Amino acid sequence: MRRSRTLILAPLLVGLLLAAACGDDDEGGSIPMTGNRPTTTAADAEAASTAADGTFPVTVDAANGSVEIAEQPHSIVSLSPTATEMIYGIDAGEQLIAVDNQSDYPTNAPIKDDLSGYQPNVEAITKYDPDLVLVESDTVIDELKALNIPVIELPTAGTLDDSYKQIQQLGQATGRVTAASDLVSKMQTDVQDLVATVPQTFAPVPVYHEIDDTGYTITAGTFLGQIYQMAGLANIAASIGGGEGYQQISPEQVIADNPQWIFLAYGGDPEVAAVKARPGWNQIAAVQQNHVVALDPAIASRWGPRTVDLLEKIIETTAPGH
Amino acid sequence: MVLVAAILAGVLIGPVDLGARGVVGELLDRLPLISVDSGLDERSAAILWQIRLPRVVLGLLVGATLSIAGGAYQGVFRNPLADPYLLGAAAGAGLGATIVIASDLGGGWGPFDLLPAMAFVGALVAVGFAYVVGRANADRAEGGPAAATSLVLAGVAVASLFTAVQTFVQQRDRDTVQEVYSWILGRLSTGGWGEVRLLAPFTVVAAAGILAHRRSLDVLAVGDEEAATLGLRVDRTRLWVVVAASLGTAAAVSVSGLIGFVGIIVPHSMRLLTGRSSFRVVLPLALLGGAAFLVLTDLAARTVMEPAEIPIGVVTAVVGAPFFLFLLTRRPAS
Repeated sequence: MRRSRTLILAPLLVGLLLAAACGDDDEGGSIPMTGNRPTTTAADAEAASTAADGTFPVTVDAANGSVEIAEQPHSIVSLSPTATEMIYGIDAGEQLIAVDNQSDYPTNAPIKDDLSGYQPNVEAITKYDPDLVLVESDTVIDELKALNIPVIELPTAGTLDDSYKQIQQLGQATGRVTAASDLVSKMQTDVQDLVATVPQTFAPVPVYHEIDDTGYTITAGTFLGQIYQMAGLANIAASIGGGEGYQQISPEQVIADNPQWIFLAYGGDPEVAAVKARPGWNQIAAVQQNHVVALDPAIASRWGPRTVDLLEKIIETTAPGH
Repeated sequence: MVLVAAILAGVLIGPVDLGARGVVGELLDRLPLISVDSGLDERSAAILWQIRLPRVVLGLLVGATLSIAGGAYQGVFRNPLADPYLLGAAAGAGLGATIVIASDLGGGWGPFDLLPAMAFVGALVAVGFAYVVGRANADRAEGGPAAATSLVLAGVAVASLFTAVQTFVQQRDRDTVQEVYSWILGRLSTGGWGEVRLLAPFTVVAAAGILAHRRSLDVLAVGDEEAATLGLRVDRTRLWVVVAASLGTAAAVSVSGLIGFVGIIVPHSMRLLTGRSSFRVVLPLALLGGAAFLVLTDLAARTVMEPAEIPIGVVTAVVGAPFFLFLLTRRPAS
């Protein structure tokens, strides 16, 4: 096993991989969440701002330190599906030249099969002659630095505030500062409006969120943990492993904690059926009440503008008719 | 005694505290003629009966199978370093499993779960291949290496070949590397009674087949030619023991992945503990000792870093490797 942040990221990556693997076949199984809250449509983006308003050169204070960007980039390579969504969210999609093979949203993104965010290949990246590269993990940063290509690292967000910060960083880096601020305020307003609709209950309903079928789940120290908390739910795994990042939970513990809802960040109908059929799980309230839900993997594992959609989906599912 | 204690510990200790009274009561309640109110609610009972107990039983079966198979291999090959994977069972199973994982076929195929089926087939193919090649060499080479030696050499070569192909397949499909590694390190966590039902018949057949030959193994210890002059049909004995041990090993590997060192350290521990090297004594003890050992290591695997689990192969190796070094300093390989 690798250490530190990589270790924390690993389960999420696995989740994403599973999601990617299953997503294609199980369109019908997962519940589509796109469209009901069009956070990132062209209309919104246009309404926000179409004009570039940044100043260059600019120094962006990113997760990998200060990144100097000399001129407004027009050949951005994104190796992060989340970063791709953020870039379109701030109306900078035109500035992308290539995105990795998992960046499937929005569908008009310049997706390239030979670009992988998990196993980044420096040569495959340099082929596009990028003037800015966006990554989730630090694997290729040193190599790209050596080639004088600026890189911004956008690691998995621990909170929604981290997401907002990353959007602001991308705003600076692409010369779309106002659009980024507008997107962040819109997300914040939407989140507030949604949270206001959550019924105030005496005891929060216990919920279990599963990233993959080996029992990796989320603690309070993740943006997903925060979303469940905002939706007025009690994540059964909130404090395991010190409440940090992504942790494994034993099936025994899930049964004992008896969640009322189970959300899968992967798969579709077959996976839901498999979860219900696990030994002993027929004793769990969520299974008995048919409350096992497969979320759209692309939304449930990214911390971009569509996290608002995720929050809405979870609130609508758990508190119908609020 | 140790076995019973291990089973109790394995059932009592887990991430969810069920209470000793409740667990023991629940277990006693299932015995005929005894009715005890365990006080466990339905969910706790489900944890006990459907998650914890099958895992303990699976540990018993895998530990017993690997240990007795290891002891048997050490006998037929007269090699204290032999383990159940000597003839390529691990490499074959690893290749079978990797192919299933990498090609994303894991969902099931007809009535069979493809992963254990392919691992089982892979293990048997590798061992069969090694056996046939090794035998052919021994038959042809008059005055060449002894049959046991050429089998071991063929096993090593076949294992290298299968491992190479496995590594190649794994590297071709990098996205599933983590899943492959987790399989290779072994785990009992999939649990459920399904695996138990799958493995149990093989454990019985393997144990019976090996135990039936335990006296022949003692005779074989004096050497092939000497054993032959004593009236033992050396090749046939070796074939039957290898077949029995390999069936058991392949079945164990197919449900639990590659759990190392159990097959080496348990038979040797039994020799050291009893001070006797006769297979009549060591093999039955290895069966029981292996069962207890694996239940206890699995307990460590799932509790040391709670709530996360350490792969059980890591635990057995951490316990096994130092022991193995100790063994080498005490008893040089003959």
